[in-house]
Amino acid sequence: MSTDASTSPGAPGVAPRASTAAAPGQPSPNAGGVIHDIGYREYDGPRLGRGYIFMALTWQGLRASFGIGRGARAKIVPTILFVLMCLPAAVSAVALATNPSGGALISYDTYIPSLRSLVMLVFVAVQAPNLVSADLRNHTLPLYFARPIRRTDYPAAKLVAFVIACLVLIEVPLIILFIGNAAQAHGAHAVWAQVTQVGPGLLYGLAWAVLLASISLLLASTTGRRVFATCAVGLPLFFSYILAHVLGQIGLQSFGPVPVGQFGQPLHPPALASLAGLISPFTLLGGVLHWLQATPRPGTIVHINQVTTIGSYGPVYMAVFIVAVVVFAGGLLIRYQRVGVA
Amino acid sequence: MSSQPVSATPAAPGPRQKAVHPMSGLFNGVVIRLTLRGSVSRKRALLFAIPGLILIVVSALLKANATGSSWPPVFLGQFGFSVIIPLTALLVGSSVLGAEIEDGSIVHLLATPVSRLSVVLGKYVVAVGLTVLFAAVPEYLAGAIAKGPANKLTIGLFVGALAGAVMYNALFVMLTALVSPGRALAFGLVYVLLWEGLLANLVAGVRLLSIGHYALAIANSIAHNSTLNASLNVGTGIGMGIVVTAAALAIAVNRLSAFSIKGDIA
Repeated sequence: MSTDASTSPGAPGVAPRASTAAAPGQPSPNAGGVIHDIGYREYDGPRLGRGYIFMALTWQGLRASFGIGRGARAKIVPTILFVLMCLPAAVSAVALATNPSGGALISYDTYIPSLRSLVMLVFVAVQAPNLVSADLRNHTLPLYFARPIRRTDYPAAKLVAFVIACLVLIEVPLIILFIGNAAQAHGAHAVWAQVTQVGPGLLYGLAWAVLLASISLLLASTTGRRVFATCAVGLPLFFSYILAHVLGQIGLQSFGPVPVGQFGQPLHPPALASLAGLISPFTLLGGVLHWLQATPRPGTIVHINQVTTIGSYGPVYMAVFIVAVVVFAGGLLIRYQRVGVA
Repeated sequence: MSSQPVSATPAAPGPRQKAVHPMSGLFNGVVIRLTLRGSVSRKRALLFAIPGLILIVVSALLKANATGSSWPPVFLGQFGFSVIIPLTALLVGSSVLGAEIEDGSIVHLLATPVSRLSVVLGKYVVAVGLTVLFAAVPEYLAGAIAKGPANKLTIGLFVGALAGAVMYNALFVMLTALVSPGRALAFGLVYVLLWEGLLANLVAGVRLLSIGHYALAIANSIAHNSTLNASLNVGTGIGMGIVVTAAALAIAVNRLSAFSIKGDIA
């Protein structure tokens, strides 16, 4: 092990770079100065590498997403939002248990779109800054990058952590819903039918989590002040959400009469109504679901106000969704390439 | 209007050359000028213009393409009054007082013999003016594009937007005096999002306490357009608007009288 004290900020076990300047134990003859050995004990055991640091950052980010490790006040918002999200699923489970003859009220795919959009909007706006703001503000990033991690590892770890955090909020209600439904299902066949239905719902939830986490972390990392980061995330998401809704509504009203189909969905909607959903991530996700489902299955509940109108532009929604994820997640990684030692 | 710079003389020894008029007027010109300069010269000021620009551009696009004619009250009324005006007022109103609290220079302003009422009113007037410029004028221009410059709806929306600027800014200036500037921005956002955006449109009782609906009532008294969804009558709107504005400003003045700096001000 090198005794060269000048390597201490780096990782001697991984890259003892300075050992070329001075051989271990004896200062090189033309060295300008001497670093005194004042008796600090060295650690020469095995060092945990890049993978462990990534895991640690992810775990730390996940804790920060729910205010764990901070005071009670930091847990208020995530707790309220989590309870709010789970409430309809719990109510559905209780309703099914007391009245088994009634069918399921809530779909696995859409859950309750307006509630999910609102809760996720507030969640990402309030919690995304907790993952990134403190390190930007306190200039602790150079300390992270002094460890054996790559530049992309830090934002990638944060992104993974926040995707998992969003998944907790989105998927746990679906699982409660599933348990409530499966408990009332009679026979293995009916339970299996529930499994095949909840599966796509969980996958679709992943699409929500990935898109929202990338957008919110990128926007939150633009400023080191937590409250301003909250606004940097919340304002554009809120603004675009309302704009998409109002334009979609106008598109259906002001561009000629739109024939209405069997399930109340507009047939051949005008281009404005079909494309307005692209403006906001929430309506974009709604459009992706609408396209994946093609037409709503008979018997499923359709909230016509809350399902994005896509007309014949379904593939555009899928393409924009993929591009958006790549751009925002890529933007986050690039943003930490340039963050420097600021 | 006092044009007297008030910061120069308090420590000056000997007889004063100039008389300082601490209460010479409700509006202090220096406060207004400095606030205006502080708000507009920041990079953040570019943000103020974005919502209004989007409003005008989308209106022009809709005007060019729409076949029906029911969209102006929907777009300009619903979107304009529940998003554009409150968000612009939030950005402007929380920065007029907030910027100075944030960098600590409010101490120097409060140390001068300018009454707290003049300070709050000066800041408030600037906030209202900027909101009118960045939200109410775009609202009028968008209305003019959609319906023509002298249309009842256009005038109604403009007057409603003016009233909205007056009321919202009082609220947001009060909010910055009550809590720290950053928090005021976050609380204001939650208020606009949940109270004005969601609850006021779902729960009828909330409309009685919603600034957006006061402004809509005032707009509707001129426009007489049922698509605006104005559910309050104009008397309620004006009356409650005056009460809310006056109360908010009074609370702001009161809070600023016992002001203490929180956090790490260098």
